[in-house]
Amino acid sequence: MKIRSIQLTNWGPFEGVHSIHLDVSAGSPVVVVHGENGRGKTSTMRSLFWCLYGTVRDGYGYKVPTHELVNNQCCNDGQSSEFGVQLIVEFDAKDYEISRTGKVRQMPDALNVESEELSFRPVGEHPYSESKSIDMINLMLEEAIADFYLFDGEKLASVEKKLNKNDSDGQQFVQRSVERALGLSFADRLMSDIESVSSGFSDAISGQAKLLDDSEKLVLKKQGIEADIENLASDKRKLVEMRASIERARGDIANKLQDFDLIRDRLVERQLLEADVLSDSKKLDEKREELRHEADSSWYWPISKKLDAITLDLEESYDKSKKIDESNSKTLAQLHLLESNLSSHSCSLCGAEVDESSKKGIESRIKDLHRQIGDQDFEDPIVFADQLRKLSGYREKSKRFPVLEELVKSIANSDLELLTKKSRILELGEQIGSVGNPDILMLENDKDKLTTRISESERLEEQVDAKISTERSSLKAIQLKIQESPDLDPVERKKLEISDALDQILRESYDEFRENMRLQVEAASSNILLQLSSEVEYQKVSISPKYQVAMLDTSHQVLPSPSSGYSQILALAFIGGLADVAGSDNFVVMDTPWGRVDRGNRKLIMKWIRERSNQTIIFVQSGELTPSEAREHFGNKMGRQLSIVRQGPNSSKIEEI
Amino acid sequence: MEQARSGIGVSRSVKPTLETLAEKYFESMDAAFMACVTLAIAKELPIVATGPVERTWHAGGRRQELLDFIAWHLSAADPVQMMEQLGHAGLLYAKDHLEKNSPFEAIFAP
Repeated sequence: MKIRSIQLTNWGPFEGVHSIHLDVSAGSPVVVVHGENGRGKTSTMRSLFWCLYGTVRDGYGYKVPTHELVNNQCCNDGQSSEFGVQLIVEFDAKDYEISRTGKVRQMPDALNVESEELSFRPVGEHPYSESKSIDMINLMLEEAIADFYLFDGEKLASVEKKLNKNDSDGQQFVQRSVERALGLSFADRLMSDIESVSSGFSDAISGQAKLLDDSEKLVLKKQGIEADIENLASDKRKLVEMRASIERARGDIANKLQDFDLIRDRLVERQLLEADVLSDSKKLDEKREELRHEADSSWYWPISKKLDAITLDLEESYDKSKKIDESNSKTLAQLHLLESNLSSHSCSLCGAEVDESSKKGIESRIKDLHRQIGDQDFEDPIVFADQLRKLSGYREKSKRFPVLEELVKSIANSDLELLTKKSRILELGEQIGSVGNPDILMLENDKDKLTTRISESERLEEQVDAKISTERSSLKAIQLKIQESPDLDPVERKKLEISDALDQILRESYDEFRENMRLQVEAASSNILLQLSSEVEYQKVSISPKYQVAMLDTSHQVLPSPSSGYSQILALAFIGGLADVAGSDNFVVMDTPWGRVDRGNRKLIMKWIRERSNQTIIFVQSGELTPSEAREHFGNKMGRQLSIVRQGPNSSKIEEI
Repeated sequence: MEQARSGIGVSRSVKPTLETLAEKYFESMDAAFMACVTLAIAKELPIVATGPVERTWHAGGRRQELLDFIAWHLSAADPVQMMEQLGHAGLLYAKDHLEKNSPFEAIFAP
C-alpha cells in the first residue's frame, strides 16, 4: 500500500483545502516533511488515522475528540463548515479514493461536529457501501496493526516505557503486539473454527461421549463422596473421642461434687443454723430484757403460791363471816323486836296486847335466838377485809405473773432450742472436719461448661451424622446410576479417543504457531537493531517465552539498563520488527522519531530507512534534520521533500521543496 | 425500847450474788433483794445471822410494802431485821444456784 496524496480540508492548522502529494517511485521511496513545532506534522499524520478508521488516539491510547482535530478558524460563530481528509492510495496496483468528511458548526465555546461520512471507491468508480469500505480498508491495513506503520515520538516513548516495564502489563503489551503483528485474531478465529469442527464431531458422537463423560463424572463424583464420607467419619471419630474425654473430665468433677454434696449440705445447714442462732440469741436477749423488766416488780413471785392460798382463805373467811354477820343482824333485829314487844306488852307491828301466853312464847323465842347467835363461830369480816387489804399490793402485782411465767417458759424453750442448735452446729463442725470450704461454685461452673461442651459435641456429631447420611444417600443414588449406565460401544470409544487426540494436536499446533510468532518478531527486531545500533555489544533483541523484551550482548547475556537513547532504538527495532513480520509492502509514517537518539544512531536509523524499499514518510523538525541533511543522507532515495510553513496565526500550508 | 432500824443492809458475803442477780435477772438490786426475801419465806429457808451489813436502802418506798407484809405475815417485831435476814438467806440460796448457772425460774419459781 502506498499513499499517493492527502487532501486536508479545514484540518488541524490547515485552513481551507490543502493537497499534499506523496507519490514516490520504488527507487526513491523516502518522503521527508519538514516543519517546526506546531506547524502541523502530527496533525497530518493523525489525518491518515482518522481518514482510515474514524478515530485518533494519542500516544497513551486515549481517543482524541474529532472537534479538536478540525481547524478552529474554519467558520465564524454560528456558521458551519465542511472538514475532512481525502486519501488517494495505491493497493494491489489499483488506485482508491478514501474520503472521510464532515460538517462542524462554531458554537460559542467550541466547534461542534454535526456529521461524518466515509466514502471509499476505486478512482473513477462508484463508492462502495460503508461495510465494504471498512472491510477494504482493513484489508489494506488492519487497524489493529496500523500503529506499527504510523507512529510518532509519543508512541515510541509509550512503547519504550512498556518494554522497560518488566511486569505483567509490559509482558501483555508485548504478547498482544506480537499476536497482532501475526494476525493472531485470524488464528483465534481459526482456532475457534477448529473447535467448532471438533465440537461438531463430538456432537456427532455426543450420545456416547456424553455417556462416557457422565459415567466418568459419576465415578469421580462417587470417589469424591466416598472421600467426603471418610473425612466426615474421621471427623465423627475425633468428635466422639473429644466428647469421651470431656465426659471423663465432667465425671471427675461430678464425683468431686458428689463427695462435696454431703459436706455442702452440712455447710449450708451450719450456715443456716448459725444465722438462726444469731437471730434467736438476739430475740432471747430481748426476752431476757423483758424478763428483767417484769422481774423487777414481781418480787412476790417466789411466794405467790402461798400468798394465793392465803388470799383465797381470807376471801372465803371474809365471805363466810359476812354471811354470818348479815344473818346475825336479822336475828338481832328480830330479837330486838321481840324484846321490845315484851317490854311494851304490845306488838310494835300490829299494836296487839302481849298476853301471858304470848309472853312465854316470846321469851322462848328470844332464848332460841340468843342460843342461835351464841352457837356461831363468828369473826368480824372487817378483820378479814383488813388482812386482804394488806395483801392488796401483792394481788395487784400478781396480775403480771402470767406474763412473767410465759416469759420464763418462752426463755426456757428458746434456751433449749438454742442449745440444740449450738450443739448441732458443733456436731456439723466435727462432721465437716478438715474439708474446709471447697470452691464448689467453681467446680459447678466447670461442670456446667463441660456439660455445654458435651451438648455442642453431640450437636456436631448429629450434624456430621446427618451429613454422612446425606452423602450415603447421594452415594447410593450414584452407584445406582453407575449400575444403570450402559456400556460404551468400543468403536465409539475409539472415535472419542481420536477426537481427543485431534483436539490435542490442534492445541499443540496453535501453541507452536504462537511460539513461532514470538521467535519471528524477535528475529525481525534483532535484524533491525543490528542496523540501527552503532554499538557492537547490542547484538540481539530477546523476547522471552514470558514476553519480556531485552537487548542481548554478543555472548547473549541480557544488557541491563540500556541508555535512554538505546531504549528508544529498542522500541523502534521492536516496532520495525512487528511491521516487518506483519508483512505486506506497506508504507511507514514516522513523526519525529529521532527524539533522544544521538547523531551516530540517528545516521544509522536514516541508513535503515534508506535501505527500505517501501514508501517511508518522515516528519522532522529542523533540530532533527534539515532539508540539506536529508538530501545528503537519503540521496537518490529521496522521493520528495516538503515543508509545512506558517501562513498566519494558527494557520499553515504545505509547500514542495 | 430499841427503835426499829430504818435502813436495810446486805452483808458483804452475798453482795456479789446480789449484783449478779441484779445484772442477770432484774433491773435493780432492791428488786433482786426483795425477790430473795420472798424466796426465803416461800422456801422457809433457815434464818441465819447476816453478819456485818452495809446499809443499802432506807426502809421506805416500795420496800415499805414488803416490810408491812413481813410484819403482818410473820408477825415480826423488827421487820427490817427480819427482812435483812430473809434476804441474806435467799441470797445464799441463790448463790448456790448461780454457781450452777441455774436459770431464773430454777431459783425463783414458786
